[in-house]
Amino acid sequence: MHKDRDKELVEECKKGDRQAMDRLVRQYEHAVYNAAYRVLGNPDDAADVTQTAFVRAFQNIDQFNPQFRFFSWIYRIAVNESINQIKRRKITEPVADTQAARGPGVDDIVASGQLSDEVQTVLMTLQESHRAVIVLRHFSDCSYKEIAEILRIPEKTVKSRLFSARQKMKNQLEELGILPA
Amino acid sequence: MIDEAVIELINRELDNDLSESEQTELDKILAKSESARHYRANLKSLDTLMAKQPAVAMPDGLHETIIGSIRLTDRPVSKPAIIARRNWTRVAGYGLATAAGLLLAVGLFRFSPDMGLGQTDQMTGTMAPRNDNPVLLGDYFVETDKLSSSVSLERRGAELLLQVDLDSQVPTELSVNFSGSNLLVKAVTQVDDNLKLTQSPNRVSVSGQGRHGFTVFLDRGDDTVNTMDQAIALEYSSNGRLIREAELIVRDE
Repeated sequence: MHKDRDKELVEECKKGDRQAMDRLVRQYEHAVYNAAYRVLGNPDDAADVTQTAFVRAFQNIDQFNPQFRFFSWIYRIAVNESINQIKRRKITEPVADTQAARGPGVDDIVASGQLSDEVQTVLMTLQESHRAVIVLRHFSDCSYKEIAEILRIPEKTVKSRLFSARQKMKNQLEELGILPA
Repeated sequence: MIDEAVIELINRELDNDLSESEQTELDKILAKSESARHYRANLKSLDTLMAKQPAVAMPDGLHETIIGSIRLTDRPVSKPAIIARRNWTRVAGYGLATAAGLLLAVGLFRFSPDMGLGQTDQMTGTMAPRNDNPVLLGDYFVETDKLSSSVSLERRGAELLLQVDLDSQVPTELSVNFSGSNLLVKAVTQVDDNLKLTQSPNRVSVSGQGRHGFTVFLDRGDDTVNTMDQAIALEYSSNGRLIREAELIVRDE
């Protein structure tokens, strides 16, 4: 994924070249925003995380290890920041609010007819570590190796989390009648 | 019931991760097993369903906001742009409140690291140390109909500061508990006397209504605590009813 060009751009950024920085941001901002959106399920939070991820990446650009790819690095920051965001906003609210925060119920989902919302709703029921793996594999099209690099976990763990998360999603979507049982 | 090993093979096939011999092995299993074929078909449906999900468009202006937030030559970068994008008027309000606090204060107090707790207890005004670029170590925002608040942990030079803004339409209590971190309360400043404040080495509690801002000066305590797992607990309540509970995760520097 543009590995050599990214390396050159990172080197230019280290010298203070804002054009290079702009090109790197343009290269990955949509992908980072989409990954953050899928992990967080909220466009405002996704925008915050995308901004924070790039700010932190360029704030620490001198520490960037060229052995890794820039996209792995920015994804890693974004996914970690997304998970932190979820933890920071862990809410203990009255029952009515908590239910509202969980999104629509099964009947609402089926009635709405919006497949995108349904998939995102089911995605949001997964625990964060499983959700991150699903997002990176299915929405960001990363390989096992790339996911392992981004999350700094062994490939074996990537596979077990991914297979388990798929199973949970499959079961829920079958229950909702979206996938055939 | 399908064997775990077969489930793994089917999943890996979906990810194009099978060797030729593994693919042959799976093909043989699929030829014999109806349940394996069924599982594989459903997994492919799941994959197709997710592949069909449209990409989400970025909000207008996000690229410019990102670019405007990054400084390449003057690192580290503070993060007020995120707050600003959320609510300009509210931030402007915080600025006015701070300015009012400064006017009311006897004089601008410049915090000295040598000052003891006995002296700092009586401080008023906004007293974040100046001249050092802040490094953001963690932050939290809450916004409801009746409460808007931001809490940020910053390092400025040698000082660790927790900056708190609290704007509430109803009497609100905020409790900040540092027990889950290695941070200890050294001193607290407050903008005005309408904010009731209590403090101990591990906790700061404030209660009041309206718009307030204050700064907690912190010391690092036990350095053996794993800095990756540190959290500051925040509890907002009103008339004894918990409104919101959150953890501010302290980022590794």
